[in-house]
Amino acid sequence: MEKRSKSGTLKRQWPLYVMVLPGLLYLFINNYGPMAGMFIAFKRIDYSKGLWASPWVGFENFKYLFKTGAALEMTRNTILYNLVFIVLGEVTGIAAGIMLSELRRKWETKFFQTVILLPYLLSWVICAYIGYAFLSRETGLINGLLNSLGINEVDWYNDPGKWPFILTFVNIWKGLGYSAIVYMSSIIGIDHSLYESAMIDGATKWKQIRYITLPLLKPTVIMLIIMSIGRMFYSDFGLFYQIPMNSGTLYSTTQTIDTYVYRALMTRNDIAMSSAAGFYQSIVGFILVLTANYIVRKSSPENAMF
Amino acid sequence: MKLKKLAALAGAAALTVTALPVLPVYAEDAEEIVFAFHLTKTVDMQPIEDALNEITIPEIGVKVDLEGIQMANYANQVGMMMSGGEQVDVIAMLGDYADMLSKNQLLCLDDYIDEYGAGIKEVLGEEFLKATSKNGSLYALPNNNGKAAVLNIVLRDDLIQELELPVDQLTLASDFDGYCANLDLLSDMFAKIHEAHPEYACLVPSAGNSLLFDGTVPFMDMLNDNYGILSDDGSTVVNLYETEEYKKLISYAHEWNQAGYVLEDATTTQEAANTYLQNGRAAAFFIKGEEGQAEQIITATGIPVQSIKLLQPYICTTDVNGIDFGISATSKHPEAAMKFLNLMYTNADVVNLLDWGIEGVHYEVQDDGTVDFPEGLDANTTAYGLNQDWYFGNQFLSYIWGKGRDTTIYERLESNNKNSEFSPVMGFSYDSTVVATELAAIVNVRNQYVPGLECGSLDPETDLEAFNKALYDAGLQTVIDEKQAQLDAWKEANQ
Repeated sequence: MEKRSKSGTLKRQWPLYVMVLPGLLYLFINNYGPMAGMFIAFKRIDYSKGLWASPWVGFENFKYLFKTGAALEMTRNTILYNLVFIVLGEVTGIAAGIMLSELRRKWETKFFQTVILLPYLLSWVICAYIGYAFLSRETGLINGLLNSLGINEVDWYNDPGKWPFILTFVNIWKGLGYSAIVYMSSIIGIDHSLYESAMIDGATKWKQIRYITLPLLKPTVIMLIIMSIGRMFYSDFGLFYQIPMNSGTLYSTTQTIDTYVYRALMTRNDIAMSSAAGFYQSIVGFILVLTANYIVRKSSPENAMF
Repeated sequence: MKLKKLAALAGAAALTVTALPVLPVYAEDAEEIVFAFHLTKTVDMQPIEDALNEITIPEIGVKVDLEGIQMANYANQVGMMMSGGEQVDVIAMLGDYADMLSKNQLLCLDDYIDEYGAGIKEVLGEEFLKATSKNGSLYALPNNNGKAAVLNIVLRDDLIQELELPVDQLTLASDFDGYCANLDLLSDMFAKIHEAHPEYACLVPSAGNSLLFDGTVPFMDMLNDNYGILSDDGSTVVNLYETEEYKKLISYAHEWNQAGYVLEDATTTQEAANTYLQNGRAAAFFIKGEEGQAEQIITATGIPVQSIKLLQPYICTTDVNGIDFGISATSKHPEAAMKFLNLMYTNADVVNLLDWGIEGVHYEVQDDGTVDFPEGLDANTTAYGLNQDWYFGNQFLSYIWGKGRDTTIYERLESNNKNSEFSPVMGFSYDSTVVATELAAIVNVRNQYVPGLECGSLDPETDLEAFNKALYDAGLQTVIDEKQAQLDAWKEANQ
């Protein structure tokens, strides 16, 4: 490969940089700019003095996150759900991606792709009411079915034991289409001649997947996993707040850090305390990303993100 | 998540907004003020603002900039305006007086009320102004409307007739036993309804997934937030959820639930009681209401109902200071702001303009003295139609909406306001800042148990105990102690 001068590269590639510009601008305005507001987490806001002149209170605003038994419960829920979602999400996403890419007729690919993507495009509130149509005691489809079979009704919204399964199912159902498309696009990028030579060598479909597709997907999988680990201390607010219809009896299995903070501060309107929650989640997330990346770099350096 | 994004935005806003110059526009040398208030729907305020300034500029030399904000965003947006250095002078409060006071968002009104707001003092009277005072200084002005709302039972009129329900035996109870007698009568009525019409849910929750209007125990001052309430002796703060009265009330709920009178989805539904009434599912519900409650429900649902008061009124601080108007601590024009507030409590034209819009455009005065839509307009086609007559300043100055409506209603509301029993600690407002950490945990515990207890699906014998234990684990005792200390200090200073 011949060596090119830096200015030459810039001259040739400037349209690419221009294309990146809006995204970068967005990133700076939306993600970097607000970081300056982190100091709010350590203040008690006094509006007559203004934000900066308000008194410093140290870690006072963080206390409510760790105060009670609920703290342990919500942290446990947040992390365990995220682990399950990461593992099952990747497995089902890869499986669906491979299946989609194996479809030969174009209309089939388009059809199935659209069908499994549809839930991803629905808002959580709509999903919550779809769930309600199935699970409600008054008019729910499932209880109606159980009734007609002579089985006792289940009071879904008051039975915390069932919700880990319901929430996992709903989350996979909603996210599957998107991750399948991500994987399908990586699979399409794989050099087709690899499969052709494998077929000539007599490899079965299963062996092709096992020895060609999966190893070549590894970088994508690792990247997506590291990114999800960074968000492990966050939960999808819509999923955990809307889908259980905010039912109090379900808190033991549906409360996560985000819903706790929302419920605790909904009526307080305390921006310092909500900043503290955001601060805590992003710092832990940052450490988790660094750790995950460090581990990947140790075991297979070529797959690490940085 | 909205809260956190907004919090982060507030930081960003603080950095960017302060850099922008605020350009005041003076009209004929009038002092310009910004009035921030809640809106229940999106409307074009410009014509209202223009018409308002035609009154205020000649009258008091003040030009008012109306800044209507959607209810859900209000508190956040006002906070951002204030911290970001944006002009805001008059601010409205909806249940967050104590909160705004604790964050120093409110200017002390003592220096302005006598000189520029004498009319307001006359309208509201000493007793009501206590509710928005602290240590003898005034920080906000309660709006003037019917404050003597009590628990009502709303029953379908057709069922009352068909089953000959003895609603005339229900009394305006003046103590807790009388109230229980009412509930016993209602139990019998529900039994009749359930037997004759099992397709109806005899009771649906009316607010916050609770049958008995959010757990409010009659004749007790909840002292702002239910966590620590005033006991009968008028000076001790006790735990509401350990009182005999509370247990008794949720036992009714449990009994009704077990008998199948209660909507099955009561603890999770997010539909309004009116919706269930309209859909022919609800036979009855409890609601806190004043005179004209039945008419309001009939107008909204088209179902004939009776709304029967079950209690004598008992007015606490929070009943009075639920809706207030104050002046922002950041205001540069407090005199002008007070002059405008004075008009909102004393000038019928100003009140009607804010309540109903422009005469001849948004409403027309009817022969019977009420107002209604002009020819060809209705609730869907009107350009204003806020229906916030309960909100702006002095409601008793405004027209009554709806041709044919009872025009004596304001007189009744005013006399109820004057003749009600008041809490012995009327005027005590509690600042929860120091126990914010405990309250965050307590609110979550409350959400976990209260819907189940107050809709009767949880058992008062076993679950109530677990609830109380969880409350104390979350730090309820600290909250009660703090409230007691504040109450003692308040009594020392005021009684």
